[in-house]
Amino acid sequence: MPPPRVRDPRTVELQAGRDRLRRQIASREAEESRLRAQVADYGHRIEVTPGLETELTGIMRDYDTLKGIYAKLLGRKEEAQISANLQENDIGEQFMIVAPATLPSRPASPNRLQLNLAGVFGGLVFALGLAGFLEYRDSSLRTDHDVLAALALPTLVTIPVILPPWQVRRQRTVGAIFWLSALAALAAGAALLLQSLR
Amino acid sequence: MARTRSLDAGNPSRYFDKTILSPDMTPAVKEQFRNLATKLHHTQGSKGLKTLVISSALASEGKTLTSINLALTLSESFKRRVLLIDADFRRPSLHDLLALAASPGFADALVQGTDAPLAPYVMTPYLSVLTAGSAIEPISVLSSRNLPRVLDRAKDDFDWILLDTPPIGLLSDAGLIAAHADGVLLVVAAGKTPVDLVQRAVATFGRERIVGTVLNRVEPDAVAGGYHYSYDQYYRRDKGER
Repeated sequence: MPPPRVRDPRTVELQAGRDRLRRQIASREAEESRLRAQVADYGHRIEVTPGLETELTGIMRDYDTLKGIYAKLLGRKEEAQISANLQENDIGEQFMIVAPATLPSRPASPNRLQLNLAGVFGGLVFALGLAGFLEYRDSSLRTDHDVLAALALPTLVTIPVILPPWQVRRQRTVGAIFWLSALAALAAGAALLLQSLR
Repeated sequence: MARTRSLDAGNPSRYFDKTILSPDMTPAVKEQFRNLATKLHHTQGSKGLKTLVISSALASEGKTLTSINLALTLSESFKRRVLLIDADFRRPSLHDLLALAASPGFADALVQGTDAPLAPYVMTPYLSVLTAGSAIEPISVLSSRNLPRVLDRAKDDFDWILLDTPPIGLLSDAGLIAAHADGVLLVVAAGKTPVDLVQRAVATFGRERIVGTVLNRVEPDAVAGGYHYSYDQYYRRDKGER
């Protein structure tokens, strides 16, 4: 049986130093890995920062909107509460007229003068148009000159309209009624026009 | 076999006021009919006019009243023997206006021919009236040979034969009668009948057959440039002075 080998203390020490260094290396490598992971984490956080900022802006905007709505609703609630209190306490009658409403001196609409003038002008144009149209359509003969021109025949006599006395009386009555009505209509129209001008 | 009847006998019709017999008739209208009668009288002298058809283009233009007033003027003012015939078998009206019986009349005379004597109403010594009578088929009656015979026979007894006919624009009766008459007097209602219808009537009769026109129902202002009123005033003043 060979004698046991006696280990050199120097070697043992070196080996112990070597093991210690190895442990230190492993520790440093673990720390490096941890730091690298941290660097990667921070890098990732830096990369996603703009998206978060946008999201934050949106959230802030929604917050402001909701805050405005809330303030408005809160105001209304307070107003409603005040109204309810006023009604409950019957103090609404204490309103007073600060400035009474005033009647306008002229109506804003309709413009009577304009309407009356338009009516007069329209009636005149319509009457003239109708008279012109009827005259244009009328191809009857009225005088002996018309007969001669259209037929080239002599007119021996022209007989006037023969009306019996009762018909003459009726025609005069109808005529008088017509002229009186026309005068009344003219007077009424003139009065309306004058009223519009004032 | 003449029947006699006074002009004022019976009930005057509602048109009596439109005849020159009416006391209310204006002198100017009477004078116009005298003018017409005078012109026809001269035409008779120059052209031998004796049988005169009085017609118009359309209905209700005043043919019948013109016929009556002309007949009255020729007979009473000019003392001419006048036979007034209602030749409108479709819508006879002369008997109504003069309060006479419609039958027997002209149509019956045409059916019987010259064998039977005419039986007119003798209204005055100078005026006789033959009413329309009864005709079942006017065209066959008017186109018979008896029409010229009856008219020729009447010419022996009368100076004027006036035939009141239907409107030529609606019926052909007037054309058939005018073919055997000496002339046509065309009545035109002023301001009513369209000129093309009057021209068609003239063409149907034939321009050479038309003696002239009577422009009827003219507004008084248009009669001889307002002479109508002046004449009435002159006439009244003249009568008043006497």
